[in-house]
Amino acid sequence: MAGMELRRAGGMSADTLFRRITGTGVLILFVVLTGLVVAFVGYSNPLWTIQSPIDFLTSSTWSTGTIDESGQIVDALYGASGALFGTVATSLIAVLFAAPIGILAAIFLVEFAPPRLAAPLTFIVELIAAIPSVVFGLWAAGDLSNRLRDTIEWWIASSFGRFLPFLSEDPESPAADSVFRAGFLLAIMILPMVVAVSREFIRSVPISLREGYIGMGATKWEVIRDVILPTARIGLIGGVLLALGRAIGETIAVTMVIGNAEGVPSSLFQPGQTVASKIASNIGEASGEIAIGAMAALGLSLFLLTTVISLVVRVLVRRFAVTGGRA
Amino acid sequence: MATEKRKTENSATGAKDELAQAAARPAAQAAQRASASESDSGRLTLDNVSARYGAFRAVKDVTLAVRPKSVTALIGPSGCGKSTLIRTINRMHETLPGATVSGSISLDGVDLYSSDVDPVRARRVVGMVFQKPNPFPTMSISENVSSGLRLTGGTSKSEIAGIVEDSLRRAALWDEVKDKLNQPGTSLSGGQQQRLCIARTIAVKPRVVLMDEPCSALDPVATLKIEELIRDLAAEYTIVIVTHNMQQASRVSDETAFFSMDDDRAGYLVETGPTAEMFTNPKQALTEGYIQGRFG
Ligand SMILES: Nc1ncnc2c1ncn2[C@@H]1O[C@H](COP(=O)(O)OP(=O)(O)O)[C@@H](O)[C@H]1O
Ligand SMILES: [Mg+2]
Repeated sequence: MAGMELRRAGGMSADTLFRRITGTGVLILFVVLTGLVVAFVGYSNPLWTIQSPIDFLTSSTWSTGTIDESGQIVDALYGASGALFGTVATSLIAVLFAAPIGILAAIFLVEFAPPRLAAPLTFIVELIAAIPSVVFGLWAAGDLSNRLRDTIEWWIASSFGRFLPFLSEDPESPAADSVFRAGFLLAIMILPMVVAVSREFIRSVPISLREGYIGMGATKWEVIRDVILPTARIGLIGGVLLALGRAIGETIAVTMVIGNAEGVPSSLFQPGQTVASKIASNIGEASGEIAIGAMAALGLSLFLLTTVISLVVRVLVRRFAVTGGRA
Repeated sequence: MATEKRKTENSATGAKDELAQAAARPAAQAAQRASASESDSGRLTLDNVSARYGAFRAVKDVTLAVRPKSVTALIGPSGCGKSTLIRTINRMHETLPGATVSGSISLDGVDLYSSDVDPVRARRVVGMVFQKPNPFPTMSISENVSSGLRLTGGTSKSEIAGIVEDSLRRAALWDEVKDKLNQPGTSLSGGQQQRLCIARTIAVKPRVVLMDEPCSALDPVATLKIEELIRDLAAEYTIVIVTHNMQQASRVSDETAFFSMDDDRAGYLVETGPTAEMFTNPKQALTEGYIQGRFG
């Protein structure tokens, strides 16, 4: 019979099935996200009966208050500015070190390392990326933190501490823990991610562009500067922001080295806390609707921060994609 | 003058209309060619050139004299080493890991492979246009054209603007892009992108322009435009073009070099001669077979 091979097969087509499976996946994600936000807003509600979100964001006092004769909690104030400061400071310190070093390492891996060296190095990067953060935390708490204090922290404090109070440190008795050391530890932890993402984007710059510029009489360095970095720029920024997101959310390792001190520290070389480390170290004692509400508010602020970063990534990618990579 | 002499040869043998047309050029261009000084005229001499990828020899013992300020077409079956050979001329071949070149290639008497020649500088004198248009996506149209000048340095902003316009005019692109010089080069059509690549190549005033199948990614209309442009540019530059399109070779080139492959897949030069002769009356049976088959 003619046209037999053209007849539609019975049942659901593979395309339809695939669309439904993937569609279900997206739906689940959406439900999870909505559920999470709704739950956290709900948890945090009791807190707003005793204070405003402004107090939460601006005050550096974190006090569970006292119970008066009538059994009411009085004088409670949950101000998260110290933790917010710590989160922003540690993650910026992390990115400040990890971004340039990671991108340079990626350039080396793709452009300069002979294949025989690049393969094992890439493997090592992946290996470091897979180390659980608690291991980094232990390393820092055990040994690394002191080494950082005696080397890079000491160097920065003695070079800039005199004019920049936020970089000052008492050379006789440096603090046992510091925001800076937590940030530097984060830098080490996010470095593999920066390298891995940057490497992919640097590799994806077409050979035709590299050769085009070499053909114009460009040196290897000029190719990197004028063609590879600008072309891969969006991906590099995206990778750094992704790593920034990880640094912001990192909890256990930071909790182990930052000192978990209340308030905004006077110097980066003083102990402090981050939003994530504050949740981790306070959640055990939090009891009662209001204290739990304060924890939820911390969680929400963390969520908000990472959402803003994701949005920035999206806007960047879209804006650059439309203009073919031009600002 | 050698070039003048060859031109008469060409008209004498140019039996086909197409070929005769290709050979006939405006008198002004001929005059310009005649007045060019011999020392930087763009005379290329390939002597016993072999090119390898690791142990594999892709090009074997090619000896070829390329006439200055003319178009030389390299033709031959796929894989016979045309791209490899053309990439030895601007020292691009050696940028691939394991790739080596032996023999000598000289430009106006200077051995491009001698130890005191900087390959980076050699590439500014021997420009290259690639198979796939490759404007730099993060640079605007005018930045694409000025990219070579900015690499070399020493050209003022106002000079650069003049050279950008001049190069775009020569590449027959100015009228189409003059109102959008600041837009990305990648916003142009394929044919325009290729002319942009030609503009950026000639902006640094090279002596030789290499083109590796510059039209293979383009439609017929865009192809014709580029071919016209190649004819115009031959007044000032020595052009070596790889093409798999016999009609194109016959339309644009003055000389044709035919390559083939040995049993060991090493490409070699079968014969070379004025294009008109190569297409009407080749000396080698191999050439004749290839040309007839491809014209079919
Ligand atoms: N990067 C490379 N590495 C190894 N071999 C190559 C490479 N590029 C081309 N070749 C080989 O060299 C020979 C010539 O290739 P090519 O110069 O591209 O031929 P054509 O341009 O005439 O089609 C072919 O056998 C091809 O497989
Ligand atoms: Mg080729």
